[in-house]
Amino acid sequence: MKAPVIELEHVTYTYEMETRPALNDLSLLVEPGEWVAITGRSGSGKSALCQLLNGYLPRIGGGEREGVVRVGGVDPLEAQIAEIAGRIGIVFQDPDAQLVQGRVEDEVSFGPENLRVPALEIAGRVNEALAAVRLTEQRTSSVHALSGGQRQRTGIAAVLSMQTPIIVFDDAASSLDRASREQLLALLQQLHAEGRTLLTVSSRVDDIAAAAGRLVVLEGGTVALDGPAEELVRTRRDRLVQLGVLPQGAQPSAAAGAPQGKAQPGPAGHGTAAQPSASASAPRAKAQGPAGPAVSPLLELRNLAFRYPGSAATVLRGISMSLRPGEWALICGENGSGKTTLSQLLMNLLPMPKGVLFWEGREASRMKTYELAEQIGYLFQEPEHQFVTSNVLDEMLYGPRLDMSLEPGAPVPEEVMQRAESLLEVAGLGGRHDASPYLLSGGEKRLLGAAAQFMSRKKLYVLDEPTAGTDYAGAKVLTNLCRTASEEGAALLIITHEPEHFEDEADTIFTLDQGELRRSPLR
Amino acid sequence: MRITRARSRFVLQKFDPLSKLVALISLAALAMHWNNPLLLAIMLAFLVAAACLGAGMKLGSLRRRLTFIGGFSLPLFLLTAFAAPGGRVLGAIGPLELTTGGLYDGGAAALRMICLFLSSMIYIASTDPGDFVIMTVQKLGVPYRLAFGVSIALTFLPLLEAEGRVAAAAREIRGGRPARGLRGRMQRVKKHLAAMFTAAIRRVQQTAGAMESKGFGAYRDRTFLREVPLKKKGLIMMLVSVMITAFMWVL
Repeated sequence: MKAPVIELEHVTYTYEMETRPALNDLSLLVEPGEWVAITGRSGSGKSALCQLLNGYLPRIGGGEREGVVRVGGVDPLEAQIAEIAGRIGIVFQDPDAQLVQGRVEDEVSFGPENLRVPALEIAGRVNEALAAVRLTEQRTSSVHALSGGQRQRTGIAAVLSMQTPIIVFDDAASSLDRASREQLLALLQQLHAEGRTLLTVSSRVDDIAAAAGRLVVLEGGTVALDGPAEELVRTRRDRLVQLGVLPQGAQPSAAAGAPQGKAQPGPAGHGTAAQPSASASAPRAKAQGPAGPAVSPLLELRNLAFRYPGSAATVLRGISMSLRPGEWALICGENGSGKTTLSQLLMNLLPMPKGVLFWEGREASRMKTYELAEQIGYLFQEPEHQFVTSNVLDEMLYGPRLDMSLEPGAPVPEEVMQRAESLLEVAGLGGRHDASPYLLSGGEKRLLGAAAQFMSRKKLYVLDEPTAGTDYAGAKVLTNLCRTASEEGAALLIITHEPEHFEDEADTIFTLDQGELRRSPLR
Repeated sequence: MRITRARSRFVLQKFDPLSKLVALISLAALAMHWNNPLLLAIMLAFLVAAACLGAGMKLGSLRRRLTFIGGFSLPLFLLTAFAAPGGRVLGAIGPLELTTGGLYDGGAAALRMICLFLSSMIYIASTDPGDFVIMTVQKLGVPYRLAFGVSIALTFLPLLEAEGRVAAAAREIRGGRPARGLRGRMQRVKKHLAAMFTAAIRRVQQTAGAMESKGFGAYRDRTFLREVPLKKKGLIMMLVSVMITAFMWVL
């Protein structure tokens, strides 16, 4: 056996302001050149593990670490910056958390410049890294003008250009479209073939995890399963389903070879204490879903064209669509195709042109966002953007308190409190009422954001990438929440790179391609 | 092969950060030297035109920023007007006398503050922070850690502004109607500022972590992929700024 390049021995880590450890007596050895897929449900300690490896935790992020951590023979907590930056590169889960410069090219050259790589060599590295993530054309663009997926690809390129022997991808594929995920998989295979040590982190046993030689599954901050990916999927499938990282009913071959396959309808995996409603566990009957054509549309867009103020490029063109009460529609499309722009326009978060948006038959382009929000629930692509309170329970009660004109912190009726507690239990956040929403894991943040939206009854819910970064159990919870809302008569518009979670239930699937919307056939 | 930056849309964006810095310092010196509110008002008009036509700032955005700084310059105006009486007495509020001299000085102080703020905003709006770092390190020999520190400070106000927009959108999306009454508005502003600063500080912490993970601060010096050349038009801008300032100074 070669000397391990990553050594974790009896590591326990507790975040600042938390009492429960995120990692609990975790031990793990990784050999040089190994490709290890780290998976586990939301909150199992994956991101904490990654951030310990480059010293971000506890050096900058705070908290308390016990046990031994060595990366390339040095302890990241005590090592010099150059020692760590030259050994390990990390692509963070949140694209905005890793971009430090204004322009794509500056982002990608930033690491090598800090490590005093000559300009000529940096130029070559930048060209290669941008080509690898298909961002050569965006080289001089501002990172703020890119879509979420494009920003994530910029983050990947910024780490690639550092050419470190170890690279960690912390759920880096969660905001990527299918083509970009496939391209990332090919890139990982190439890096592995070059002899790099790779740690790919995800909340599910997806195609990237399945392609890794070794699969490590975390539960409660410690290693629950560790072994060859293919063998574990074949022999420990029930346990993987129980851990929330495989969909219920998935066949081993499908999960190992092509896990992009559909999440099968059925109850959520082990650990979800309750369903939002008893009826929510079965797929919704589409025939009972959308009201017939005789029913007036709830929301209608008539020939929408849009470009950002001050920009010459048309982002959306000729968009016409309508949604009726109870209808469930998906919008799919590549990164940068205009999906989030469209959803923000629907909420008048961007200047909607006159005469194209109609809400319940009324021209709505001049309605205020808060007026629309009384009837439309909206989940941001970045869940952190919608947090308005300092703890998880208050986040859930914020909407109901406003509905009842109660002061912040005022007691709410018992049934509202019970609903909040029940939804938090379902979302796996039952014991985290006092936790800061900002300190939850990526998947937990998303579940909290969605659950908070479903606290108040709305006529329409617009959810932007609700399942990105969640485990299968979390995705199932979201599907059930949507189903319950749909059965209560609400319409749903879901923007997603992962239609497989919803397409069994959706009445309509739209595809947004280079700013144009077309109806796709139901599968 | 060195790479230079892409083409810019507005005239002030086409000048390098160093030339604009010299122009900015010249303007600031003149603003500090002048005590005549009329001259400072002319300078303010010039700066408003430069902000819109030269830096591409939108009128609405400019109005918001001037209203913001107005909130600070109004108390300064009142304080100076009453604290530095002189000339003819125009009226009195109790023991406080409002005089022509006080108005003159108060107006100058307030206008000076607005001019300094607006000229800095123009600089921030028209300057790529990356170019600023490259130029100050390469041309002035400023330590790169200090240059990046200044560059991050330059981007902090726009960052606060962006976080403010996100926080406002979040509140609206979560059903927040406009606050009513003075108490309600004060509470809304307090919560808004708290959310904005929390998010901004968190973003700064994330940025620090991301910079360190990419080796920032590992060595005393660093290399740069790009260079920002000092062009002829930049030199002319510096020269003209200094000459005009010298002329106005003695006028």
